[in-house]
Amino acid sequence: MKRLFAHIIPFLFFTVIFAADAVAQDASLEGLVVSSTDGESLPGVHISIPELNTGTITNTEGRFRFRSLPPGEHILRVSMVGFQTLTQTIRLESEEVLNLRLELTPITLQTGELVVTASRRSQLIGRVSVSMNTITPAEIHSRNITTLDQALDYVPGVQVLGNSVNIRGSSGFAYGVGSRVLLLVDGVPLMGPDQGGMDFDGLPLTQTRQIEVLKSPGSALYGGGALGGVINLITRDFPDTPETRLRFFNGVYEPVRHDVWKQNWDGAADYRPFRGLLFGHSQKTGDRFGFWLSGKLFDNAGYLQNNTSKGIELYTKLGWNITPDIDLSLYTGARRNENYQFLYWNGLRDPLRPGEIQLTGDTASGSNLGLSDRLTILPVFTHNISPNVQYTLKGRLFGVAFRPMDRQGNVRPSDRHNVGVRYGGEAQVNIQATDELILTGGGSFDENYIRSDVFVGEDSLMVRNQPEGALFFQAEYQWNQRLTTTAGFRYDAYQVHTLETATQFSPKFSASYSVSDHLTARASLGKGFRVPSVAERFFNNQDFFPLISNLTLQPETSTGYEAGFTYMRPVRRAFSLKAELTGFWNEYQRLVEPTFRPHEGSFQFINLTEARIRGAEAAVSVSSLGQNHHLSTSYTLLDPDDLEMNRPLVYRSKHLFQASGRTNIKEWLEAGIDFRAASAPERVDTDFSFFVSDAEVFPAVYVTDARLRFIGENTLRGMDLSATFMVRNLFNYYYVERPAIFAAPRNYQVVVEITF
Amino acid sequence: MLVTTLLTASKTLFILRKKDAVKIARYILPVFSISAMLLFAQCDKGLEPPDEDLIPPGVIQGTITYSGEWPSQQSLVDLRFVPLTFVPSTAFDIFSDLDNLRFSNRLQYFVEEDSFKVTDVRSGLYVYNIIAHQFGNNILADWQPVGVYTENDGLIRVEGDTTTIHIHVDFDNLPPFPPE
Repeated sequence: MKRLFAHIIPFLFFTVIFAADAVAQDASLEGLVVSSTDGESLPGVHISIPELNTGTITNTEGRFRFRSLPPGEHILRVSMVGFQTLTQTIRLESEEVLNLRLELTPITLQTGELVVTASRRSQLIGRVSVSMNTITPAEIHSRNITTLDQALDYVPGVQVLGNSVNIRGSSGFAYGVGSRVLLLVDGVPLMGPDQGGMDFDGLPLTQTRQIEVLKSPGSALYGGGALGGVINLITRDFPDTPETRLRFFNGVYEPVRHDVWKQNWDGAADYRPFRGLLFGHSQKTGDRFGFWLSGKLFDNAGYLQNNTSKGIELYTKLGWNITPDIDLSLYTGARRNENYQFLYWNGLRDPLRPGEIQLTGDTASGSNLGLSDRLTILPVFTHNISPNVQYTLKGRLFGVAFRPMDRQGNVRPSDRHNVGVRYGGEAQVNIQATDELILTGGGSFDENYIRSDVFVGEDSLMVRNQPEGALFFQAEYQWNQRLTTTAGFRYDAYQVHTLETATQFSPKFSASYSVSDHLTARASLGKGFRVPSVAERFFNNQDFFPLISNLTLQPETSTGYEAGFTYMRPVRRAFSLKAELTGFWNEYQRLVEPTFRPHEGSFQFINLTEARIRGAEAAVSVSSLGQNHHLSTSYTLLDPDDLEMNRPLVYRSKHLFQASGRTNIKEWLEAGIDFRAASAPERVDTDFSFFVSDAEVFPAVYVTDARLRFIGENTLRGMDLSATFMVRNLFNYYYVERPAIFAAPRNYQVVVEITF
Repeated sequence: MLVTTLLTASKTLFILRKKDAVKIARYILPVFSISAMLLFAQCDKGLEPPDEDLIPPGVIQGTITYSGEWPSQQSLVDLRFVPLTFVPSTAFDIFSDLDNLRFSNRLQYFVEEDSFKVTDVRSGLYVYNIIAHQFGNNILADWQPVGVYTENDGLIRVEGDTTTIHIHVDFDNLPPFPPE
C-alpha cells in the first residue's frame, strides 16, 4: 500500500503542476455578436474554431466565451441561419483575454428582426416556432397611429371589432368584455381589472421599439387571457444622444352622403374636427441613468352624435444601470379621458345617433358620458448573476376608475362609480444550462380588486376579488444549427368563487427546423385557457343594456395546433423577399359568449359551446434593400364552427385580406397605401336586434388608406421635419365598426412631425 | 406548392438586372394603387339607409267578442291585438322584428265585446293575428294568444288601406301555442 502511494502522489503532484502551467499559458476569448443592420445583440449564434475542434453558442444576451485556448493564430467561424457566415483570423497571446465585437450581416432585412414574446427571451424571428408579426416604429409614425387598434388593423389575420381584438377569429365580438387576446407592456399584462378588456389608448406610442403580435395560444407562458394570442408592446431603450419628438395632427371627418342620415342631427352635415399632439423625449444621463417620456393630448368631436372624446396621457420610464450586471427600471403611466361612449345606433335609418331600449323598464340609453382614469406602475429589476444565469423581478400595479357624468358634464354621485386595481408580481430565471439548452422558469401572482355598483351579481356584494397564481417552465434545446425544440408548461391556480379555487395545466411543444438557409419549417401545439372577467361573472345592470350576472361561469379552454413555413431570401441583391404559409387548428371548450335569455329578458354571459376555428394564412412581403420600397400582402381563410349547433360562430369573417405598399418616390417624398378587406360574417347575433334596430346588419369591409409624406432631414438647425397628408377610408365605404356602430367615414388629416 | 411558387417567382426576378428591378419597384406602387382605386371605386359603397316603403302603411281595425271564464285580475297584466307577418314558436319571437311590431291599445278586461284599431301598419301579408294576453311580469316571455283571427285562412293583406276583421276569444278553449 505504501508503495502504491509512493508512485501515485508524485504522479498527481506533477500532473497538477503541469496542468497549472498549461492553464497559465492559455488564453481566453469572449465577446458579443450583433446584427450589422441595427446593432441588436444576436442569441443562438454558432462560433467555432475548426482547427481546434471547439465551438460555442451565444447566450440570450448575444455573448460568448472560450476558455483555455492555446496562444497563436486561429480562424474563427461565426455562423447563423439567415446571416452571412463570418470568418475572421484572430491572434491570441499567452494569458490574454481577448474581447471581440462581431457583426453579422442578415441575408435579408427580416432575418435580423428580434422578438421576445414567443419564448420570454430575445430570439430572431426566423427561429421562432409560432406565428408572429411585428409593427415597427417606422410604421407607427408613417401612418400616424395614435391608438393600438389602428396599429393592429394592418397585421395579417387580425381584425378589430370595436374594442374586441380578433386574432384569427378567436374573439368574435363580446361587447369589449373578456378579451381572448392578452395585452402586455414589456411582458407585463395590462388588461382591465374589471372588464378584462384592452385599453387601446393608454400606450406610449412615441417610445415604442416595436409591437409584437403572437398569433397562437400563449397561455403556457402568459396564463389566462392569452387564449387567442398575445400583443406585447416593447418600449425603447435609452439612446446615446438625446432625442425629442413632437407630432401634431389635425383632421376632419367628411359629412355622410345620405340626406336621410343628416335629418335628425345637425352635426351630421358638418366636417367634424379632431386634433392632437404626441410628444416624447429620451436620453441617457451619464453612463448609468436614462429616461424617456411619452405623452398625448387629443380632442375629437367624433362623427357620431354623443361621441366626443378628449384626454391627456403621460408615460415615463426611468432606467438605472446599478452595476454592469444589475438594472432597475420603472415604467409609469397616467391618463385621463373624458369620453362620450356611443354604445348602439338608432337603426340604419338613423345610424349617427344613439338608440334607446324601451323594454327594460326604464329607458336604457345608447350612449354614456364618463371620466376614465388609469394609472400604471411597472418596476423591473434584472440581475445577470453570470453570463449564463439571469433573473428578473417584475411588479405591477394597474388601477382604473370610471365616473359617469351627466349631460352638463358634472360627475354623477359616488354610488355610480367603478374602481378597479390589479396588482401582482413575477419572478423569472433564464439559465443557459449548456450551449444547446436554455431553461426559463418562474412564478407570478396577481389579484384584482373591484368596487362597483354594477358588478353586484346575485349575491349583492359590491367588492370583488379575483386572486390567481402561477408557475411556469420552459426548456429550449438546439439540437444542431437547424433544429430547435421547445417544451414547457404553466400551472395556474385561481379563485373562481369565494373560497373555491380551480387549477389549470397548460403544456406546449414547438419545433423549428431550418430546411435551408432560406426556408424554415415550424410546428407547435399548446393549450390555452381564460378565466372569465369580473364583468362577465358579476355585471348586473340595465342602464345601457339588459345584462345579468352568472356566478357559475366556468373558465374556457383551448387546444391549438399550428404548422407553417417561412421563406426569406434576397432577390438580385436589390430586394428582400419574405413569404409565410401557416395552417392552424384551434378547438375551444366552454366558450363564453353573450347570449339572450328570454325568460330573464336580458343578456347573460354563459359557457355556450364547443367550437373549432381552423384555417390557413399566407403572407408575402418584398422590400428593396435600402427599404425605399415595400410591398406586402396577406390572406387569411377562417372556418369558425360551433360544433354543438353545427353552424358558424358569430361575428367571424371567413376571408381576411390586406395589402400595403410604400415607396420613396424621391428622397423627400414618400407615398403609401393600405387596403384591408374582411368578408361579412357568416352569422351574426340576431338576439341583439331584438333590442337595437338593424343590429344584425354587418356588411363586408373594404377600407383603403393613403398618405403622402414630405420628408426634410436637417431642415431647421439640425431638426428633422416631416409633413404628411393622409386620407383614411379613401373611397368613403360605409361599414360597421362593431354591431350597431357606424364606422368612420372618409377622414383627412395633416400630420407634422419634428424630431431633434 | 408555396415553395415551388416562390422559387419560380424569385427565379423570374433573378433574370432582371438590379437597375431594372429598382425601376420596377418604383412603378409597382403607383400601378398597384391605381388598380386598387379603379377596382374599389367602382364597387360597393357599403351601408345605405333602407328604402322607404313604396306603399304607405295601412290600418287594421275590428271587433272582439269574449266567452268563457276570464282569467283572474292578477294574471291580467296586459291584453292587446297584435298582427304578425310570421308564426312565432315562442312568446319571445313576437318581438323579433321590433321595428315593425305594431299593436293595439290595451283592451278592456271583463267585457263581452270590445273593439280595436291599429294604425301605421306596414304594408304586407299578416299571417298570424292574435289577441295576446300578458300573464306575468316578464314583458318578453309571459305572453300567450287567447284568440286568433281565422277568417280568410287567417290572412290579412295590408296595402295602404283599412282592413276590418272580427276575432272571437273563448277563454275556456284557448288556441294552442305554439300553433300546431
